[in-house]
Amino acid sequence: MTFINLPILFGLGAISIPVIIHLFNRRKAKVIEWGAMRFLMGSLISRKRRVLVEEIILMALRCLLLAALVLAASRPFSPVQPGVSWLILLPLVLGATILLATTAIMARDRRWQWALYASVALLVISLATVSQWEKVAQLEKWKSAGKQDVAIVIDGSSSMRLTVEGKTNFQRAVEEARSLIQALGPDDAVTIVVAGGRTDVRTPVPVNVRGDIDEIFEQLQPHGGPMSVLEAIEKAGASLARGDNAAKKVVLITDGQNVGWDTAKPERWQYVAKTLSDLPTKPRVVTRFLEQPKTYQNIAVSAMTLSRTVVGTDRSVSVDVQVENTGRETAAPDGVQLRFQDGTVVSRPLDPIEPGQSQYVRFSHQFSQDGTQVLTAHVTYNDDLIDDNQQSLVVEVLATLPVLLVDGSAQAREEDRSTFFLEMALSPPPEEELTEEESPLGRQLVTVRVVAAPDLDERIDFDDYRVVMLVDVPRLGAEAAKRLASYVSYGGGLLVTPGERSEAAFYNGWQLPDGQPMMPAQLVERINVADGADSIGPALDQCKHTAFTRVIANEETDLGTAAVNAYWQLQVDPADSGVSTGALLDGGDPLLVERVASEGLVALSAISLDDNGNNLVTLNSFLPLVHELTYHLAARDMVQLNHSPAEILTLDFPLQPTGTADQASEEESQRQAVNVTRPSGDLLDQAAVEIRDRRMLVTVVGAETPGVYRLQVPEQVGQSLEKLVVKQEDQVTGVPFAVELSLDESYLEGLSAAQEAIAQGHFKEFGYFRAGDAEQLIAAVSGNIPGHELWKYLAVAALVILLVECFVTRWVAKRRKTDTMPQVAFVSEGEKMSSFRDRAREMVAQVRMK
Amino acid sequence: MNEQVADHTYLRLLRSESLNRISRLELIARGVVEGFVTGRHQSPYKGTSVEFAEHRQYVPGDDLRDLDWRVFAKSDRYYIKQYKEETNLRATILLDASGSMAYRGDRAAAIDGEPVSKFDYARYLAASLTYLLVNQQDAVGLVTFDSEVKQYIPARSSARHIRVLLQEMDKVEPAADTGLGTIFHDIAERVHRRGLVIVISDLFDDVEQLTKALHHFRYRKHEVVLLHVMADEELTFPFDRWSDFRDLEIPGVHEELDPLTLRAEYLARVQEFINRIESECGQMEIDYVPMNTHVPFDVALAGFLATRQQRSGK
Repeated sequence: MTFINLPILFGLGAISIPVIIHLFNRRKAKVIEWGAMRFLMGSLISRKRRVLVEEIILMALRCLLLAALVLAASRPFSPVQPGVSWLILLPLVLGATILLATTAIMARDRRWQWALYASVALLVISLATVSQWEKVAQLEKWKSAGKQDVAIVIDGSSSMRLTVEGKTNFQRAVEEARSLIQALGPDDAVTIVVAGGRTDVRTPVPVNVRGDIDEIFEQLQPHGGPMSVLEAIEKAGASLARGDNAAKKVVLITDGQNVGWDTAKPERWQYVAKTLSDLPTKPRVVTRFLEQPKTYQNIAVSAMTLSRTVVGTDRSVSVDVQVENTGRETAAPDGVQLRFQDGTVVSRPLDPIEPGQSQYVRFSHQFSQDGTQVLTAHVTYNDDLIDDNQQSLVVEVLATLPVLLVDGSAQAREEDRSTFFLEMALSPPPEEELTEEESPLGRQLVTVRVVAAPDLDERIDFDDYRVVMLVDVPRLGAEAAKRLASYVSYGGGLLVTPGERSEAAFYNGWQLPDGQPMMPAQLVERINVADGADSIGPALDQCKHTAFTRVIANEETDLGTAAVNAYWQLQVDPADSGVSTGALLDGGDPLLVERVASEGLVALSAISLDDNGNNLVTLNSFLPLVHELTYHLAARDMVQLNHSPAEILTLDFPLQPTGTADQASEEESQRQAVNVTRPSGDLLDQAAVEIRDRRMLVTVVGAETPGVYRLQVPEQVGQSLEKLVVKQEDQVTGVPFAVELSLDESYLEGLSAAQEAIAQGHFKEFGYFRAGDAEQLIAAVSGNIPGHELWKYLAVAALVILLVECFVTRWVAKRRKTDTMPQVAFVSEGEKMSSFRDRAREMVAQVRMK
Repeated sequence: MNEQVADHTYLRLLRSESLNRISRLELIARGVVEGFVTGRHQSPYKGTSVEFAEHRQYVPGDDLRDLDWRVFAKSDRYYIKQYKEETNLRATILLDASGSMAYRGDRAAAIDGEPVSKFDYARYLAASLTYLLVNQQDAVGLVTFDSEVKQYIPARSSARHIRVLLQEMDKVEPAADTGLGTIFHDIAERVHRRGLVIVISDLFDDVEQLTKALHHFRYRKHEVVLLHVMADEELTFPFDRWSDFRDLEIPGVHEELDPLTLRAEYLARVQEFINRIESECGQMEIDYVPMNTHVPFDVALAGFLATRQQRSGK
């Protein structure tokens, strides 16, 4: 603690004024030869302690009042990193004052009185010395060694758009930054860094042309997305390294949200600390956390989900939009709008939402166009943070879903074939007189081709189909089996429904290219349920497979009435982690088993999907079940176009095989930069594409801002991905992909003390300091002592002490009855008589007057 | 010559204007002392008088003049004739000369331009009463005391006796502690014949001891008048600045204090003390007379006598 008006501190000698008055009064005590000493002594004995306490309290209050006034006038200043805290020093002074007051009352000896004066003098001198020492130490600590380079990092994350009292936090940050720059010397150079979803160094080299800096500030906008603190500081450090001035400082102005601090990654901190240490002089790191409002309104579109992965133009799909209240007050948004790529907008109302609660809104939509579609949900509400009021979802709408049915029954008549019912279910023939649009069946997504097992030769390219189904196939030729295994490993979907002709040995010995068994389970034997025995059906409560659960979810399902007469007993290897049992029969035998085979999926059904061995085909549930199974198997091959925000994002696109093996090997070495456009329209700094093994892998760095990005497809794979490319007039042509909204930015959770302590620990060598307000920030950077004055508190304390003193004085006076003159009843007879006489004379005089 | 003059300084105790005032209150005085006048009091003691009381057998040593010769002639036995004695009043003034009586407050009534001390006030009261009583042919005795009896002068009614008493009153100076209890017991034992006991004191002693001692007087059938002399300062404690209170009774005892801090408590104690004494006196049928030195002693005395007259008139 220091004092701005140090000389006034010597006025603390004033606390001896009441003491001197008290002692003077005592010294000037009038001698009274007193007779009624017994009453006086009696009173003294019974009242002495109380009187003493009262006197001490009054004296202490009077001394404290003077002490507080003098201290306030001397303007005590508390540096933020004090050598001696005011919490120690001020109570010490006030405590010493109370002690002095007590001693003054208690002391009877003149030597004590001199000791009192000496103590006051000592107190004042000690205080002045400590204060001066502190001032010198503080100036030494904070002074700037000449000219300096200052990197100002402004948090440009989404949360900085929060409006507080008519201004966004970003505007506040910019204002504080400008004030800071004004306080800097003319030769000090400045670097401006804005850090949001991307970190933008606006001045690669520190500049000291104020006009340039003003221009930068005019254009500053928050980027949105989360800020990466370390990346921002690292870049700020890199910019400082290019500056000419000896002293360096990094200033971070943020709202203190805990997103992007990465305190759980010590290696990142150590790395950044190392880069800062490598600067010519170690920079000082100063942070300023803007005050967060206690209450604010914020509504966020927290999630968008589609009811199915494979979406076609054949049927409607549900879009669930989750709206969450991430603010601290109940919010009543008007509603939520869902905007489609073709411009259609659908609105739904919303009920008021309590803080921390969510509401789901379901939209049902049938796409009329295939290709990639962008859906944007927007909640219409004027809240304090608008960045999170919308979210986008990218959907690949398929035009067709080609399915290859391989029939093993070798029947000449179509209706005798094992694939007959499946074909009918997947692709019912349109009625002749109706067009496709007019048909109650609507457009058909699934197109079916049936081939007999023996006809599976090179003319059939499995890659033309999203799903292949082997129906009652006894065995495949070696070449076909190998090609099919390869097809699956590159992302194809295969359904095997073995019938009575199927040879267990073939299936059990069939292998994927990597040597794993092709089948998810071993075919043991075909079991025929004896006549008269209890019929077996699917154990509905054990059917967890998506296809089954979707069918069972329909209240009118008749899947429970399914009766199975014959099935293949399947044996699952429990050690095989790639296998999952999706459904069971009543007896406990597996009904549907599935294997994730590299990129693809193989499903094995224990029962046939024809009229052989079960009554499934007669059920209403048959058609939805086979469709759901088909969609499920096809989904594996869909491109993932919606991603959570991540520092490094990888997009995986399957490519159509090229003609020759030579070209394929040539492609393996290709790795090149690629253009990815941000939601804001500018290009991402780091995005690379790698094409190998019939896949295109795109690595995107820094796509953390939520919204729709667009990938410009390299020419050589343009044909493969043509269907995914969206061409819109107002948008960059490319494959859109969405980065989802992270609620971290919406909830405004501040950096905890523990997290800040970690950050402080890593940056200890840089004198990490958090400025409490703009003044402290300016002081810390411009070389003054950051801290705050305490005189206001002392002035208030003086006022309180004055009031207490008045109250105690009155109270004591009332107790001692000094304000009244009590009378002892003791009247001489003569006195009575004379007063009577006087009254009588007065009365007579009055009578005469009349 | 000087000595002679000095010898007559005691006469200052008899303030002529005061005595005039009292004599002007002749009626009152006469009324008050009505009971004191010779013949109005029937003494319980038997002696030579006019009114026959009884006979008793002669015992050797009896005055032969008292023999009832007629009875002897009739019965041949020696009988002594006894008469009811009609004596003057025997009053004993107990004058407190303890240190505390030396207190001289600024508010006390002035005599010769100077405020009187409590003791002076008491002295004037005693002297006036002595003169008054002796003038009425009553016998007056004097006891001066502090923590012990300083002087005991038995009651006599001669005019010359006044001189002795006044000289003693003049001579004595207040000093030392007050010890009313033991002294009053002592005096009660010494004054055999019942009479009037006039105590002039500030009574600064233990009330319980004092009460017991006064009981003793009452037990001895004495009529007791308690002239309680207090200074106005002692009753109002008007001091308002730091003061060093020095004990008048015990040398060296002093207390430096802010009087305002103790005033309420002090006055409460004084009031309680006065109330207790007044209450005890009421129970013992002792005439309690408060005497504030603020009131001139003659006025106070006249007031007392007037009140007494009223009371005896009833």
